[in-house]
Amino acid sequence: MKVDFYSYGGESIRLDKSPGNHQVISGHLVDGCDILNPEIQFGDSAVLRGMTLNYAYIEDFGRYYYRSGAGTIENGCIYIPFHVDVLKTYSSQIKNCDARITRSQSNYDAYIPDSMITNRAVTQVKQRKVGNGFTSANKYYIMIGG
Amino acid sequence: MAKIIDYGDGTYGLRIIIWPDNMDEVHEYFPDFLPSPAKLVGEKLDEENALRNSKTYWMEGIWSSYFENYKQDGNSYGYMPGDNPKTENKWHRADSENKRVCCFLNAYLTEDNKPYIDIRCDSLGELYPDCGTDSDNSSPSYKCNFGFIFDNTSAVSQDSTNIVLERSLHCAGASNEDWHPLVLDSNIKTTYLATGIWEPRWDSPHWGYNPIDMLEFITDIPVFTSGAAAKAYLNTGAIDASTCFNAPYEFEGSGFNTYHVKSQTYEYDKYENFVQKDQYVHWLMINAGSNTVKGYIEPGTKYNCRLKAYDGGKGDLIKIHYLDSGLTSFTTETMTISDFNRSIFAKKFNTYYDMRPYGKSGYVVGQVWSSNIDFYVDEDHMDLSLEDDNIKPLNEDDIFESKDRQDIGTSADTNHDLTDRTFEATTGFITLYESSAAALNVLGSKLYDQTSWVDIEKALKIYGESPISAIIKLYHCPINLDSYIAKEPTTGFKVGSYDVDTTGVSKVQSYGKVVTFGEFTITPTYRDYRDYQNFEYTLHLPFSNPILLDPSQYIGKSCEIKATIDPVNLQVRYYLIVNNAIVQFIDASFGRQLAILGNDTAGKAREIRQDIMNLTGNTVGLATSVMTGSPLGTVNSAVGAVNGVINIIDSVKSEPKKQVVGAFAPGCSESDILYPYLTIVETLSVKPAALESTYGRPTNFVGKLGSVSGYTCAEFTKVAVNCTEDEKNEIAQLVNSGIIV
Repeated sequence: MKVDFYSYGGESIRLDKSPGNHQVISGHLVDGCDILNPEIQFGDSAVLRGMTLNYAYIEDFGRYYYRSGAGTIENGCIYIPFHVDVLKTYSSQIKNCDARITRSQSNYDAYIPDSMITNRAVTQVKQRKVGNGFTSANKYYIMIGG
Repeated sequence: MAKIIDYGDGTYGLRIIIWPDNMDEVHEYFPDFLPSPAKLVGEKLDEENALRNSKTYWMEGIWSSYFENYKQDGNSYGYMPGDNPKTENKWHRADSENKRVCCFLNAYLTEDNKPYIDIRCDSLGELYPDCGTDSDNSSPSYKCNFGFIFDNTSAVSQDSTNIVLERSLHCAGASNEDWHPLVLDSNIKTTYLATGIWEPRWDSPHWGYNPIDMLEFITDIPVFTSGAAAKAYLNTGAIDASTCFNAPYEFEGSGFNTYHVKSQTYEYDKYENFVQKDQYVHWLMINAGSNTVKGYIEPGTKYNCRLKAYDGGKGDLIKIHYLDSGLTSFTTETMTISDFNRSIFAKKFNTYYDMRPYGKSGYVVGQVWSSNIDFYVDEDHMDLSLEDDNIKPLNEDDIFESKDRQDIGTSADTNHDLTDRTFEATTGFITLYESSAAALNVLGSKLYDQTSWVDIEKALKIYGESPISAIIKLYHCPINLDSYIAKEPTTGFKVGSYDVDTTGVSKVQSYGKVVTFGEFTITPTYRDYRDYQNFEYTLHLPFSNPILLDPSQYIGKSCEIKATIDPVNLQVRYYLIVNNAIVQFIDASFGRQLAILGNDTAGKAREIRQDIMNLTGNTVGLATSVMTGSPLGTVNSAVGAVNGVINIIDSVKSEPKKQVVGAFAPGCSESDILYPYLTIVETLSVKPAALESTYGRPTNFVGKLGSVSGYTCAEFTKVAVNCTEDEKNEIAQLVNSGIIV
């Protein structure tokens, strides 16, 4: 089967990944493997022993995969485990999902308390005069009948 | 109204009356002479609508003036140009006590008490082509000037460099009784002479070359026809268009929907660590007639507020007055609803509060946000709100102006309803005196003087009167109340029916003035929840306990402090006014009551009379003894009665009766701070760098995940994805723990 290998150094939680260094390598599906966590047999090669090619798209399964392990080498072959990347695979459908968003980079409400902003024990005191007020005097007010 | 004036020497002038009802004609000849409205520019101007609220006005700079009373140091008050008048050619309020500024035109020559200008013309009224263009000062006969044509008469004079007209403009601040002149500099268009403090003077504007060109007067402050009209404005804040040359447009006519919006856009580049790139100020006032104007937020755009006018069905046009950043004059246009909705005026405002992304790397944050327009989350909500009252605007809490909120009661304007009142402090039989300590000493000594007031003999003969009994109460006052009370000097005290002549005494006639005491604005520091949680704002007013301010009522708003004084009880009442609403008042005592001690002559006389009455009873006993044949008892009683009277009279001087009025009551400390101040205690906080991009910040937004960008956490995701259950669970888990959209 044909596997499209990529290099991806970005965040795994990113929905729209843009992997690079595309290489197509043929391999064989190990019998009895899980489609969401497949293990595929490739011919041993230096490029696969390294982790530069750490991301893949398997056209037969219609899914993107992380390379979940470095693999095992046996009889001149390298067996590489993968795990499905649901975020990249279903990114457009996920974007169309309704949700109650609790934290956001773009649409946050700054007036909701955030536990990630921590208070220190120290305080700072300022004083600001906000008017001229009264002027001092030394007067007496006396109320008298008459 | 212009008419040809024959000067009788073969010259003619076209006379134009300068008066509020003739300004259209004036502007035909001099478009920049007091154009309406008095402009509303200046960053410290009240954002809501300065003219309507009668707040501080600004003057744009063709005037240069320095007043003796208006110092330029840190303790200044009044109105001064900025540090560099050549660039900061506006006047600004430096002190909260000067709430209103205006001036009046004090024309030297008038016709029917109205100033005029004569423009040189021929006998048919045709203006000379070179009228006003002659730059030769030595032969000014072709010059035209305000109020008079140059003909070397006494109306004008001339010095070495300038032609001088004998008139002046006067400017006053509301808290100053004196009127001060504005002095027009000689070359007003290019130079602002600001080299020192000039003496206040009734001086004349110096008009240089090209007098017609110079006949411009662009000011942000209202200019009135007379001092009386100006003072009426200073007293009330109301502008009478019939007495104001540059009265503001009528925005508050019945049946008119009037709106305003002002925003200041700060643009940031996130790739430069959110360095501010530039800023823009936009200000729009709308007279929509019967139409309605609403707004909505359009995310992702630099100016993300959009305005939309809805047809009110009466065919009214939209009138707008628009001020763009850096400009000093408003654009005034009238347009159809559809033109307005397509115009730039409906699209140049942002950002409703928070920093919002736009473009690839840009962010904008709006400040100086002020509007009475309802803004909705999007256009659909805005449209639906016309039919559905349950759809609330985003800025519902920010709109304080009359928008028919369907709440109880009727609209109130407590700030403007809080006007001066007059309470009589001196009535027919009670007088309140303000006294110096020396005058009080004179009065005090008189209270012990029996001989010159009521001698005991007189007291015995009649019923007597003790001056001490006429005194009701005495307070010591540690502050000057002149701004709060009306008083008149008097020659001394009147104590009952007796006079004590001395100096240093005034009668307090009335009180009840409401005086602006201070003003402050709590500007948000973080523009997030910490401004409310991490800060403790405490207002300290003289003689009052500290007042802990509710941040939700004060943050981001200006608070005006007004005060009124009760000199009878030496009480002060402070009013805290936010958005023209009195939100709180505080009472405090500032005087110390003192006791007065004096001779109670009348009281003593009463005691004597009572004692003698008792003796009279003994005399009755004597007569009874005679009748009963007991001579020894009779003699004894008579002797006793005589001795008793003698003893009583002797005791008058040796045992004077004292009376105390009032009590020594605790009062304010002399060390009390006499000015209002605000203490701000901040609990410092630490916001991780790049928090927003790394972990986002809280929100409570329900919608499509694709409608947000960057780091996002979400709950209760309806995973409508065509995948396996395991994959759905994983998606939900990932979205819950945080993804980057």
